[in-house]
Amino acid sequence: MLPAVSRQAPPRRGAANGPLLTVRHVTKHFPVRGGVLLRTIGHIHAVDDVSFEVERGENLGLVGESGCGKTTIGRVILRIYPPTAGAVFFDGRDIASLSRRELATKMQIIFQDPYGSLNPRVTVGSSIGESMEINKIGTRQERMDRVRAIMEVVGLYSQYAQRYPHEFSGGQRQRVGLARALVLHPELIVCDEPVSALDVSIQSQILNLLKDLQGEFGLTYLFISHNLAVVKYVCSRVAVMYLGKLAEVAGVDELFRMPLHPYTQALMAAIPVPDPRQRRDRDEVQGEPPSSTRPPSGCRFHTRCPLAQDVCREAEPVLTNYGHDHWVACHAVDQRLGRGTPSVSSP
Amino acid sequence: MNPVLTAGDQIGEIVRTHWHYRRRDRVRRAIEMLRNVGIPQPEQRLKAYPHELSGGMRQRLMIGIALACEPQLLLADEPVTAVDVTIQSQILRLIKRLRDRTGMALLLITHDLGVVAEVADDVAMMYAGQIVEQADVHTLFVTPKHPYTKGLLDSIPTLATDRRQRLSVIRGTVPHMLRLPKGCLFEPRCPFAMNVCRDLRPEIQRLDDGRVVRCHLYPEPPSGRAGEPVVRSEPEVRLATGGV
Repeated sequence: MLPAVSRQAPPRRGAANGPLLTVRHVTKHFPVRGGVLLRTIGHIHAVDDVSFEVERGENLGLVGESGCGKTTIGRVILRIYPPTAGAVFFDGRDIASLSRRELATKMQIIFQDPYGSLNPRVTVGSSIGESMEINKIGTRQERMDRVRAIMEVVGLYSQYAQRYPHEFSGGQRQRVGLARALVLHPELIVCDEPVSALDVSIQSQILNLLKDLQGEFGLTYLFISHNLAVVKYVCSRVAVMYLGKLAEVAGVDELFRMPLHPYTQALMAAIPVPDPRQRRDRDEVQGEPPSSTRPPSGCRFHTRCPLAQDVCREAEPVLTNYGHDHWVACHAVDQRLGRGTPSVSSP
Repeated sequence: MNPVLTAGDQIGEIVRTHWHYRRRDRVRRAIEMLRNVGIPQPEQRLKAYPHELSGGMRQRLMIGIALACEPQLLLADEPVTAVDVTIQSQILRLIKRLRDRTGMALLLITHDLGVVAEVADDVAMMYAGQIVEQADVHTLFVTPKHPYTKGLLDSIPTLATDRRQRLSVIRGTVPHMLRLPKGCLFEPRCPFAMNVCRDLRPEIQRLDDGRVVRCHLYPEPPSGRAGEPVVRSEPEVRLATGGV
């Protein structure tokens, strides 16, 4: 579909076995500074010992509330932040060992805010072509041709390449964001709340486009969102995060049919349903997420959990496979089902 | 909120201005309001500044400020858009409870149809500065009549949406307010647009079921040339549907 470009990134390794992306025991702490000397007085535990894998062509949804670490994970995966501990492997290779160009041609990101993520003084054509320029891919003419081609793919007139971001609507800007991410033919795109900032009537256009592009380019998405309905539509597997930890990971049908973690259940109960016939007085989860500078002992959800017992305050539950690749970290589930096998592997 | 005023002062300010409360009464009222909106340990939180409160607590405080003088109408502009889902349902429940207890009316402004379905009795759907349909919440959600209402309700993915199907879309984007269409404002995006819709802006009208709608399709689509569907030029449609 795109014109061939010389000196292109090295050809993709054939459909290798093993996952496309492996996140191994990734921890990311941010220092909190304070006092007169701005000494480190604590750490925000944004992500604590998180492991999971993403298979080629699957869409993994990462859901949770603000501050749970889902965006941080996305950024560690893209090497925007170095992890405090742990490592990320792409196609079996540690991303720390990849060159910047290799990294850019393997993984890209689209951001939530299509207004804030484009430089207002740069034409959208230059924005889209920037990553090719930085990585010295193709000649000027080839880059321009590819920018135009990719604009058509995401549903923008290529004649608009000379225009500036303010001349575009929110939905069109998000298409520009997608074009930027696609122009280097990455294999994985981290979508960080890609439709949350858009008008409701535009969201479905972008979601359809994401699905179409996946078919056309053989993409894999790591889809970060707080909107469970959107995640259910786009993703094949879902990981639920709470305060920097994975609470539950399962296939999308399995998870929505039988959410096991009390937090997942609370999240699902809390979504307002656009149907007044389903109006109900729900059992809502009490309280608010505690501070991630001093996360609670034991299970991090115990301060809000209706099923909390002594063990939850003391011991941290282990993410355990209960069959059908349904992983849960919860003492109450453990006692109820009791057939799980905590293992060294990860979802 | 004013970042240099404490929670107590924020509430105190409004009862001083409108009710001319003295200091001791202001403090009493502030504690009362903090308690009403479910902020724990109100005596201590009185001295907290907005930045010391979490997002959910700040929204509760906002509601406390708004309700301190017992208004008859609460205007809530996207009250839960900036807060997380689990906090969202707490805030909505709080608003509903306070509404039922005080008997005030609530004008809830939101883009979230889920929130509307959860809280509202009546709904007015707006498009480009006009009300296009207004009805009680059941009528509007169960049998929407205006093509915009229908399109919007159809396009939202819900937990019941089939993953294998494409989402239905409303093509195009909201018109620029300085370049509004001559006829119906929704005509350029409307799948049911007729010739009359291009030429004539529809008036708002009441239908037999009591709802109000602004659309030429009702009560009957016009006959003859006026009622023929609009023929659209290709490029507009191509761009609008994303070209894929």
